[in-house]
Amino acid sequence: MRKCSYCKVNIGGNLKACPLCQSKLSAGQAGPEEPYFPKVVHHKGVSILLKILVFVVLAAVIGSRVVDTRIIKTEHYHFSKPIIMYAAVVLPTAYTFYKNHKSIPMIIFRAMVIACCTVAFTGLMFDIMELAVWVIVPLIVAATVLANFVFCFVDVGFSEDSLICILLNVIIGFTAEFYFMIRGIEMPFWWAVNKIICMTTFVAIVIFKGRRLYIELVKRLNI
Amino acid sequence: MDYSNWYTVDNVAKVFLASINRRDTRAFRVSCTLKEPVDPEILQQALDMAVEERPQFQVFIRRGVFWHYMEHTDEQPKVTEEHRRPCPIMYGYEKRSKLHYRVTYFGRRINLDMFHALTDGNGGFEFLNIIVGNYLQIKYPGKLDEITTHKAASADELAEDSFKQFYGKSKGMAMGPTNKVKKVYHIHGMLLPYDQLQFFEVHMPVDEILKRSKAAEVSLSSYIGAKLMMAIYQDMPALSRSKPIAISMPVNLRKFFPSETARNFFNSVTITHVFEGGETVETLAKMFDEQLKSELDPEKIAVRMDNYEKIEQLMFVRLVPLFIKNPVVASGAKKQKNTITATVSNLGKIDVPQEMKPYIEGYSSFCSTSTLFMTLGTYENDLTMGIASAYNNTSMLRRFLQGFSSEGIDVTVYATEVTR
Repeated sequence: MRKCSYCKVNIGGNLKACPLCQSKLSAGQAGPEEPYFPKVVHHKGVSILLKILVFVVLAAVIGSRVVDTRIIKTEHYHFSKPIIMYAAVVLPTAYTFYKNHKSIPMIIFRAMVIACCTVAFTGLMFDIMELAVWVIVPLIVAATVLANFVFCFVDVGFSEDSLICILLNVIIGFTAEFYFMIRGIEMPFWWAVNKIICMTTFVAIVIFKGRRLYIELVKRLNI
Repeated sequence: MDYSNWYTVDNVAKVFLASINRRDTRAFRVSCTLKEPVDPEILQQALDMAVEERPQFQVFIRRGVFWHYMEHTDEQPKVTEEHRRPCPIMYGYEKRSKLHYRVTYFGRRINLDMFHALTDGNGGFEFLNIIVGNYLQIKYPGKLDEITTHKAASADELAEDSFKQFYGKSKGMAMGPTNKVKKVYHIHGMLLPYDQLQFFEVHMPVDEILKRSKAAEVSLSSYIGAKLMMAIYQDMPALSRSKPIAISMPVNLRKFFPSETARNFFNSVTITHVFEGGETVETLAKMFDEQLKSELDPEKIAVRMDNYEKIEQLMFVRLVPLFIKNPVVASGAKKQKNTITATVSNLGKIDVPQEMKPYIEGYSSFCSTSTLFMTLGTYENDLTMGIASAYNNTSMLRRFLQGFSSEGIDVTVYATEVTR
């Protein structure tokens, strides 16, 4: 055991300096002991891949904006706008994946919401709204339902999340139907297909996983 | 896995869940140092046995729409060698499907790091003693077969939310004038970089400290609390000396209510003092002791406990979604933190069966903080202080410990290395 001659306290372990006054400790008669606490590598920063992605995306935004508004002087399509929009989608999505990589159903559900918004916006930008909202969006929703349907039968840590995600997907399906109903629009074919998929998976969930779904709802909605 | 086995979180845990961050991980560590190196395989067996005795800790904490909840899991804890800082982060996105406690070993020491939302220091020490008891029973078969390391309580009693159970005991009682402190002194200087905390384990002989506290006619907690207050005052810049120093002290509510819960059941009292300049450690200790005794009045404790629980019982509060509640609770916790200078938690005398004592050298504990947190515990004639400090500046701690060594008390310090 060594003694700090300034603080007059015994210093245990293998520290090279007194932890109170930071003055160097002499080796002493007995010499340093075994370490009392392990050496810790503390600072784990943000993933380098995420940093590279953020850099590339922001560089693309700045570059495209400068070219679009300052370099090309003639009348042209402002391509920097969709690039900014996609950057606004890509960065939060990447962060969600980075932060929440354990619950696959939740990631898929969030990705679905982001993808649907992106598709709708792209449709608006490139004048293909009908294709985007009438075809692509219901297909994305249906694909998410099917993926989560598979996950809820795999008995892993995130199975219960998939039950909730399916329920949310069904709510999306009903919201779309409600929208078509109040607007007096006939339900588009792919939305009808989506409705069939949502309803059948929901019925299957109620039959095969009804108790678990009920418990999940009780737990999550407990006030 | 039984999916129907789940618990609501208690009101203290709600605050911990909302205010967790990378520095103040809202975790605590309790450790037991044996007299010989730890055998990891035996420790794993001991832990597996302990898990069956305390299933309340085998949970994942999940987010509901309105509140967090704890869900039972079959996930088994794995014993590993210590390679992280004490009190590591044990709740968050990355820890989604991991248990909220961890058992590690380092040399002769067995560490139990726990997320504070699961239990308090009392529950943590009991769980550690179950593990240590099992370890020694496996290691020395036939010698320690009759020992009991925990209370005889049913599963329901252990899982009880005692805040709810004893809610309403203060009906008709008046709290009296509260000495609410708005702006208290905070230890000056920069915080350690990279969200680090520096941990100091300090050992002193109990009899020497008790002799002094008895001479001052105060309890050991009051004596050490006063010494800490004095060190903080001596380290204060002259312009801040008119600000009060506030020491928060967690109180084990099991001493006031007949609870056997293994979950959180504590409350905090705050001792404040504005220095006038002529105080000595003895006069300060007397003032500290009087304030502490007054705050520990059972009626005041009941009122304080009910005040916290009352908020949770309001239907309006209950119906607010968690994503709104969490930042509100976090900002409340931050505001509360601004009203204290440091925290001193006395875990008291650590009692283990007589048969286990020849194998155990000592106990220690730490608790994460964003300022300064000191835990106290005594085992045999060893007083252990576990100090967690977020500050780069160690001059206050130096003054505090020199205060003991200059009186001829043998002080031994172990500390973690930090990047400054």
